Amino acid sequence: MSKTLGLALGSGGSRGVCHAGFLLALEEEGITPDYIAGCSMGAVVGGCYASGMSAAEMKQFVTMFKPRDIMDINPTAVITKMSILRSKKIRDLLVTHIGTHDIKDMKIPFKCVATELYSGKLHIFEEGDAALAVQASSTVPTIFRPVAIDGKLFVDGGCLCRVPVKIVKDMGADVVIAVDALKNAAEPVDKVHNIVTMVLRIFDIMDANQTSQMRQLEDGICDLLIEPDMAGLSQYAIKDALKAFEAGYAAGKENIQKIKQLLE
Amino acid sequence: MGKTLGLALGSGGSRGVAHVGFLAALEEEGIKPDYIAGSSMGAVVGGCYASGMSVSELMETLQTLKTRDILDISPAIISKMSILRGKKLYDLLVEKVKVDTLEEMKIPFQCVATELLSGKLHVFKEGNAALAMQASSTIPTVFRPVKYDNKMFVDGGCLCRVPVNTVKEMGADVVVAVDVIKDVANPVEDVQNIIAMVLRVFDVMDAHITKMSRALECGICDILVEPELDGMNGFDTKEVDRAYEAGYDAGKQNVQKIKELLK
Repeated sequence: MSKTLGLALGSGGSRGVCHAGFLLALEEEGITPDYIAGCSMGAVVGGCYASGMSAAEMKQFVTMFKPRDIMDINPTAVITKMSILRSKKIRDLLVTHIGTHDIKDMKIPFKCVATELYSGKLHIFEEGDAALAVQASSTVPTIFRPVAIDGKLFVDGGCLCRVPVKIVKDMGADVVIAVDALKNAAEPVDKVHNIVTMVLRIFDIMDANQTSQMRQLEDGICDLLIEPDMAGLSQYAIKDALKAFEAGYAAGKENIQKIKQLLE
Repeated sequence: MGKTLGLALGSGGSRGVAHVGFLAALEEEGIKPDYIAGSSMGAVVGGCYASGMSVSELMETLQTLKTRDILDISPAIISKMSILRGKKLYDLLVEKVKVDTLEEMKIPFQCVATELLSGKLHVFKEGNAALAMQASSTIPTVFRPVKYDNKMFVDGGCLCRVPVNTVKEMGADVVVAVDVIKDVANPVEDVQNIIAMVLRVFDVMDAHITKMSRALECGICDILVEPELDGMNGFDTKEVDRAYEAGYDAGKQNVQKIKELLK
């Protein structure tokens, strides 16, 4: 295998745990990515992996994970601090599990994306505090607190770029494989129950529209698009994470021959 | 003038009053659109105009409009999904729009809305005109989603800021797009609270979607007009005169170009 492999791991909340399953399938075949770019949950999984955590360790972590591990509600500051959670717990968790301090020192070259609120532009993290960059990339608006770094304010990269295909190509990958965890997130629904589900629905619809346009514009950059089958799994339900892991693993196994051929 | 003119009038809340000024500038030069497609405020202004309302009637209505004319706070914000019921807005549209159905419009008119259940852009081509215009301008969380034909509609601007494709498909030879949200996603210095943040995220996503739409629809639009409304807030009802002037100026600036394209 002479060609280099770049993985673009997309956003998807608990559905994004499929990335860990996908990485396990690659690991079992002895395939190690040369570059990883991640967005949101794709940045969490990709960042942990790039810093040295194994796919098996990730599965173990997901099995043990409880909602209270990240729940730190601060009701008095929801309006002014712009989030339901204080996000200290998620921060501590990321610092514990991302073994590398600076992104530049990752074992596998890694970048992640976030949305910068003031400029309104997509920001690519390529150096500096690794855990903070991953936290910024996965800051689901209104749930997690926007991350302030150097006078900038970051929220989830998924607002502007679901799967960072072009970024991993620009890192130097010969072969680009994208894993999209949100395939049918905007599929038709029967009912929208209340104002919160409506806002989430609109976000999903806009994201689907954006992603479909981006695919047309970035046509040809991605060599293989993998969309694990996760119909019915929620982005927001932690209980679905293990199912997502299995779906990612199955998708990895299914595509292994294609991947090997691309790398030849 | 042998060619037909289609106008695509975009979303923008009160900034969309610029569309009225733009139509006034065209009228002064004797230019009448053959087709109009609108999204959100562009659907309100475009629909009223297409139904036979004059520019001066439109402006008079907008200038005398009071917040309380559309303010009908909902008793069930969470379950009914909005702060306002939207009934006053609907009644106002029924009163002002001079036709009942889209088929009766004096100038062929269509408008777009986002259908929540399917997640697709919906083009209103027939049926209740006021309802279609209301659906197109249903700003999420502010106005109640419009239920019609087992569907549920919110603002067209969520998926399509300026319906360039729609007016082209109506049959226009020349397509002029009026986009009133030019600078809305420009850099800001601060985001003060959770509501401002959600609106900011929406604006930033909309700017990104619009930029990609333009790249993909390249060649469909003949002239893109972007009135100068720097700093004006789309929820501000006090600056409608300024929006009108900006639209009027932008119209005047482009009149020669439009005339040449129509030759």
